[in-house]
Amino acid sequence: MASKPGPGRIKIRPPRKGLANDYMNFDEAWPPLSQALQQIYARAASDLSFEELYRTAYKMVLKKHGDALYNSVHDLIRNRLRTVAVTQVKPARPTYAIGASALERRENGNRFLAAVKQAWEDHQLCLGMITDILMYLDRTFCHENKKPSTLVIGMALFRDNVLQNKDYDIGADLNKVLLDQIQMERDGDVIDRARIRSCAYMLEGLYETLEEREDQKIYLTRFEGIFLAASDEFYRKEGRLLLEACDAATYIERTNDRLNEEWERTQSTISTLTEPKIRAIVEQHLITNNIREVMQMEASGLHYMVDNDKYDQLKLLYNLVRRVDLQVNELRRMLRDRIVYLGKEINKGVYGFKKANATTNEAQTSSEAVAAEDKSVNAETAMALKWVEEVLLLRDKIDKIWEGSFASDQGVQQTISKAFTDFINDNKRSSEYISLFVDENIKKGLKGKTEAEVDAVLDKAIVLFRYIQDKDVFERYYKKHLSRRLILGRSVSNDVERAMISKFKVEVGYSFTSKMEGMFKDMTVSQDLTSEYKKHLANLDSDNQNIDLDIKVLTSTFWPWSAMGGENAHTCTYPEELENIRASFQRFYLRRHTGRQLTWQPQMGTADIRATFKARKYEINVGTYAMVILLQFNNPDVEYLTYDELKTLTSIPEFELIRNLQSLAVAPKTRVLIKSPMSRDVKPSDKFSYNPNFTSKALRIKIGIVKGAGNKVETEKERKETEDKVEESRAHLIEAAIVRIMKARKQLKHQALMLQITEQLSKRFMPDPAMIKKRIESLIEREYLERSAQDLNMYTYLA
Amino acid sequence: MADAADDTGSLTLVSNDGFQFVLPKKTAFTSKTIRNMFNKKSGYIEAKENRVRFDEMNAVILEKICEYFCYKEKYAGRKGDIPDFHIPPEMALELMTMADFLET
Repeated sequence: MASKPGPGRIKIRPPRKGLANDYMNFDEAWPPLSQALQQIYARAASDLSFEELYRTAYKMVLKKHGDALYNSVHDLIRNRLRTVAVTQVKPARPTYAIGASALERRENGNRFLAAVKQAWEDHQLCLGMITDILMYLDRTFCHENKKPSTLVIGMALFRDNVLQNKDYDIGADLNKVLLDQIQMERDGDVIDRARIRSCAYMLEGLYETLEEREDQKIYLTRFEGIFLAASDEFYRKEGRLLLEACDAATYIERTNDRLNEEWERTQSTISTLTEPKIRAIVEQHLITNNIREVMQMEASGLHYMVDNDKYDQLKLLYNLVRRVDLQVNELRRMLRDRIVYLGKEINKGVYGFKKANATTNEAQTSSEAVAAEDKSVNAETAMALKWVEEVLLLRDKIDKIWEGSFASDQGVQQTISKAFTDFINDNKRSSEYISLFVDENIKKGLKGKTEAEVDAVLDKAIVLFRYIQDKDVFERYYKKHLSRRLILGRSVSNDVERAMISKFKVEVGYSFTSKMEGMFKDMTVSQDLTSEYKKHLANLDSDNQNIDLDIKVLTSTFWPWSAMGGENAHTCTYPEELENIRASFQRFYLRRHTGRQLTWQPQMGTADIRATFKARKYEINVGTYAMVILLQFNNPDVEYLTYDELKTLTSIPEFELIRNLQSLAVAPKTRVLIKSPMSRDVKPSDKFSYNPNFTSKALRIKIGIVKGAGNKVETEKERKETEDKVEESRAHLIEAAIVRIMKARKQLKHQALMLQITEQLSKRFMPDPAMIKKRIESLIEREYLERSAQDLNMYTYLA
Repeated sequence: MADAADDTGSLTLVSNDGFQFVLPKKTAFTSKTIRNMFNKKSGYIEAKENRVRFDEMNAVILEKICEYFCYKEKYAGRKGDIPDFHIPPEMALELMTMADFLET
């Protein structure tokens, strides 16, 4: 039973003898290979057959001579490198002494670097060729035996035998030369960057251990530390040197240059690995340690830059500081100090002015004091406007710097706002001044300007308004000024007024502007009312039509009475013809709106009257009181009237009467009455008579009462009043806030209550804690609140 | 270092029995060993003469190897229907040795 070979069985021929089967003796095969490797080192490889060498190495590995080959090759490389170190690199070692000339250092260093570079490049090339040939060894033998590849060993051999050669420490020399070259470049010399770069590459390509861990690069372990230490030292000195020798502008320029320089160095000369470290060093020494001193430099520091609009320098400075501190706190602090300082300089103008006036005022008699006060009020008004202008100028200036140099940094903007708030609120009159600024512009400044220009001015006012903490004070002044403008018809346009109001509304909300809007509404209603009254008169066909009445009916809660003098009693006995028309209108009005009360405010009114002096007709615009006074002389029988008689006839309040008589009889250009004896003071026995010799060039003249119709800054007395008013209204606001909060919470700790009140009110003003406490006490007294029995710090709301 | 080999043009592979195979370099560089031979920097004689003599290979094997080079180049990176590369069983062992040698 012979078994047949299966049909699928195929005979596999063993590989022919040759490649794998020959017997091979390593000692015989090595010499030719060794010879060939030497040839490679000698750069004479062109006669060598790669195939042959490869095949030899291949066979050696195959025939279990891998170990011997591995070691022999290493010996060969080692020997070769030792020779190189001695014959090529050593002769080029730098020999110059410390303090040698730059040229010598450069030449010497270059020669050495070139030698190292050459050795390295040769090594790399030859090692590459050898590893190509020994590829099979690496792939099989090293892999199986877990030995480092020829390439890794080759690198390690270079490290040990060239760089860290036992006899001559080439590595140390290399470090020295590299540092020296870099130092030369820092000093402004030109060096061969490419050469240094390749040496740095070499250091980067070598590792401390055979594992070749990234953090074990020779570059990092042996060179970088020294380099950083040297740089640290250099920049420590450099910082001191620059600080001593340069002004701020040069300092920051040089610092910037140094930073760029070091960055470039990491890119083109040494390794990018070092970039963050060297940057940190430069930033530490040149910026963190010194920038404060630089900014404080008297003649060129931050102050100088801000004062002289050095946008570029400031920008550079900002960028530098930002490198070490994203918040630029130091810069912000100093900027703030400077702005506050500049602002206070502006404020000083105000204080200085006040002081000067206070001293001159004292020595004067009471009558002169009135005039002097008027004069000083005028001057102070001008100064108030100047103050606002200057603040705006400063604001524009700082704004430009902020945009141009500080990259519109939000944090810096906060600082700027804070600084402005500080010094603007430092000037107690800023609210009044800013309101006056608006007043001035609406009355005069905006004439003939385009809408955009007007808007710009209003926006400026709003910018300042934002800085004011006590918005309630501003509101008070603004209402006062607004009321004057509306009643006297001084506004350039209603649109502008409304635009301003709506800007306030956007800024702080409806409650702030509701009363002002009420004032506007009153004005419109009054216009309609006047025309309807005229129609009414036409229908009546009465004889009153020769007097043209223009009435403004104002809702008492909207208008700032006290500021308009409405709190003092205003009695006035009108001449008959006026009384008729007044009564007629009152009847007309009350018929339409029953239950209302009309109070007449003659101190706010004006009248146009015609008078004849020396056969020339004049039209005189005077206040209502002045008109009443003049009408007393509109009678040929009256030769003169004494002050007392006038007082009885007109029953005008004494204060107003004196003022009006002064402007009618004392003021030099508008002397329509004669006063005897002629003096500034008005005494009860003084006599007044018609002045037939009055002349004036203009046909229309305006006789203002001494304190004119325009809005001026307040006198000390008025200011005191205003402050009292403000205090009073604040007290109400605080109480209202307390009650509101307590009603909602029922029980609340003292601290929490204080906090909430401050929060609620801070939009309008900064409440004073002492004041809040007083209000709480007052509410407890009135039994709105009580202290909790258990906890004295706790308040309870009593319904 | 293998990167430095220029893979344009063609080269000649020569078997131990004198047969010559002309291949585009790119195709022959499927073998890492051959590619290393043509490393420009190294400048071995193979690179200079643009021909490689394989003393251990006869024409039959070398032809099969060249076939494989072409096969590999044609289908490498392709998906779907790739025909099998046919290897006569009697050549298998020898080819494997050569593949090891040539690092293909």
